[in-house]
Amino acid sequence: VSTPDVTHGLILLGTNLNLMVVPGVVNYARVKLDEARTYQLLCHEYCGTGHERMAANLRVVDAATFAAAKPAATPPSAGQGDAMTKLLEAKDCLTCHSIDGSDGIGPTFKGMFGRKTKLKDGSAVTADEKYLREAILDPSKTVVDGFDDVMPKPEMTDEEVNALIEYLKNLK
Amino acid sequence: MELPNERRIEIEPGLKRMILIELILPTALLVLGIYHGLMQVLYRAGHIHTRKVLGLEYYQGLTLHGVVNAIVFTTFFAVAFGYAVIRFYLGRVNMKVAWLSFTLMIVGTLLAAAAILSGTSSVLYTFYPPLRAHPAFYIGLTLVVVGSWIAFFNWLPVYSAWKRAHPGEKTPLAVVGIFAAFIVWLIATIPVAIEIIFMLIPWSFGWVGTVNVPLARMLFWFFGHPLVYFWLLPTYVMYYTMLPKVSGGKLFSDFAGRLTFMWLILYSAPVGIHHQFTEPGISSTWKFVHAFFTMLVAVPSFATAFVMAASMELGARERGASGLMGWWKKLPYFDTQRWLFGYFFCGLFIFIFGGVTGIINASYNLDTVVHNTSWLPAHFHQTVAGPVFLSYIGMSLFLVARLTGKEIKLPRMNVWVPYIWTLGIMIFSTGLFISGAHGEPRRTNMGLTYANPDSPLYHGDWKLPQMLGVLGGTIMTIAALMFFIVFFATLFTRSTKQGALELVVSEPYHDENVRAVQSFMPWLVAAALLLVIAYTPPIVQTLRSNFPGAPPYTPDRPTPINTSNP
Repeated sequence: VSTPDVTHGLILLGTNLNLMVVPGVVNYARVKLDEARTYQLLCHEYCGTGHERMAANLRVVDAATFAAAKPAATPPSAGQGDAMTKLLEAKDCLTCHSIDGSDGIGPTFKGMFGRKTKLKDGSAVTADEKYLREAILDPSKTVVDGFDDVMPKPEMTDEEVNALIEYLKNLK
Repeated sequence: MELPNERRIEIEPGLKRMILIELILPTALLVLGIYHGLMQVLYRAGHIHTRKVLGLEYYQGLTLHGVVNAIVFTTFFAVAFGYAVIRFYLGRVNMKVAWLSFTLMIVGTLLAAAAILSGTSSVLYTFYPPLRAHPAFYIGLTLVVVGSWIAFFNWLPVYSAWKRAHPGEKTPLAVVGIFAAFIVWLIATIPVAIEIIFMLIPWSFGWVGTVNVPLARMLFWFFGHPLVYFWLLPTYVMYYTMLPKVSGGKLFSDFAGRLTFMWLILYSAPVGIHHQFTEPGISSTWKFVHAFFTMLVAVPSFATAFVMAASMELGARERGASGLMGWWKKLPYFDTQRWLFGYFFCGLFIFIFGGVTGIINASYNLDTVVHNTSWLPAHFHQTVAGPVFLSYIGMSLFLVARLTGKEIKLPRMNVWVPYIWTLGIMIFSTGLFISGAHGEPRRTNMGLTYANPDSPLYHGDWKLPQMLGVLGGTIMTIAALMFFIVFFATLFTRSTKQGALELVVSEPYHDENVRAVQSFMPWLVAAALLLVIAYTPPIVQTLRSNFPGAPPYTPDRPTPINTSNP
């Protein structure tokens, strides 16, 4: 494991897999998991915003289940959605914004387009194309009520911004 | 305490004022530090589900808790106690230099406090890069450390003059201990000063773009472990030179005290990598070497436990105790005249558990289970918040009362403080040990997710130990409140006599004269040699690997700070 940003920790609960994840260095450990069940791994070093929700599941399955599940690993509707996920990952959007409606440091992307939103300065807006463009390019001007002004200006080309807005339109 | 006073020293008003401020100011700051200690157990048990309470954010409060309790309070106390010991046993110090050291430490504390309270330095008290604090945080800490160095340098000429005037005499045991503490402090703070001054400060100002994180972490732990012996050594000074007397006995072995102090100079530093067992970039050979030395540094603590028990038993038997364990019944547990006994004795008791868990942490395979879980704070609260905290607050109260010539107010309440604290810390640590062994992460605002039943990440299985944490934490807070009431009531009462500097002085039972522990020099040379051997290869490893440096991040945003996003 390694990290492109800050120092993290990794603990796989119920095992003795316990590693520091330090920027610039690769860390590794071998662990044999005999039990077919879901293990939880979480970050145990303070890594800044969102640290207390930095967790993931590791599913250990037997060989037959693994083989059967393989085809489903590729989502049926690859294409635009897939490229989009890559873009969102690359620009670090998903650290704060979820695409499934769950809470985060920023408002979720799900159903964002067309939503009536109250801003921190008290004004009410509808998240149309014009608003979203402004919110992406100059985040400090459009802080949604209940969230903090922490979003940096992303480095995105015009095409990428257009593609993101199209994507948000369809993410109901 | 109606112990026969061997010596009362009327000291210079300037030195008296300085020692008093150095004891009272950090005790007042401790109110804030302990407040967030209580808040943390409430967050972590899921009684609070927010990021902040009363304007103090969880991680900001955690930074405050660590810096105030573990760095500011301890360093100020060690310097004030050091001045008291040096003045008491050796003679007058240069007051100009003393005030310079005092000013640096006060300015540094204010700078660091401002940086933390402004919310721009929530990097916890280990300040690991690439999380970046405000430059004032690093500069403030540096000034506190440099101020404490100057205090130490101020004592050296006093010691030389004393030695010239007392040829052939043994250096007073308390002085050996205080010097050991500050030698360890000097060894510890040089690497962290290099980290802060040459790496973190230029990087936090933006003069350099990136920082070598593995090197910074190694320099930090080069500091981080001897730091705990710097905390512990003044406590050991009190144990060896005062506890036997207040318990009604004699120091069983003077030599054991001297050997303990010298041994800690030798082994407290080449052990830092036992904090880094789970880290990449350090070969297992050097992790093993440091683990080996860590086991050696546990030896003087075992010796201390033995000598203290023997010293207490001696006195109790003289007072008529019989049988194997009968002496336990003849100790002045709740004697309001000998109230310091409780503060020392309870610390020793807590340290049994702190010591054993320390050996567990330094064992590689066990560490992989508990590293960075709440097991760790449970362990170090049983050390720094056990013997260190109790002896420091007890001695602060003692010195303040004697220097101002005041009687201890509310003596019955005072005598209970250490026992209630001990009850609290044992319950608190038990909770954290259990949840830590089950993987509960430390340094995490659990209330938002893992301890929040509304969150998909909720961990119901950590609930019970978290409740123990709350119970223990609350009891500790009550004990601390009782202490603050006694301390400030004593401080604001009228003086009943002329204040003077007094220290409890135990007589030795065995007063050995072993040449090997009479001089610092051979131990200093051996310590330096050991450090070169233990740290040169691992530091070279972090320097030779060609990993990229890390740009600065602040804890409130997921992307690095750069010029377009200041």
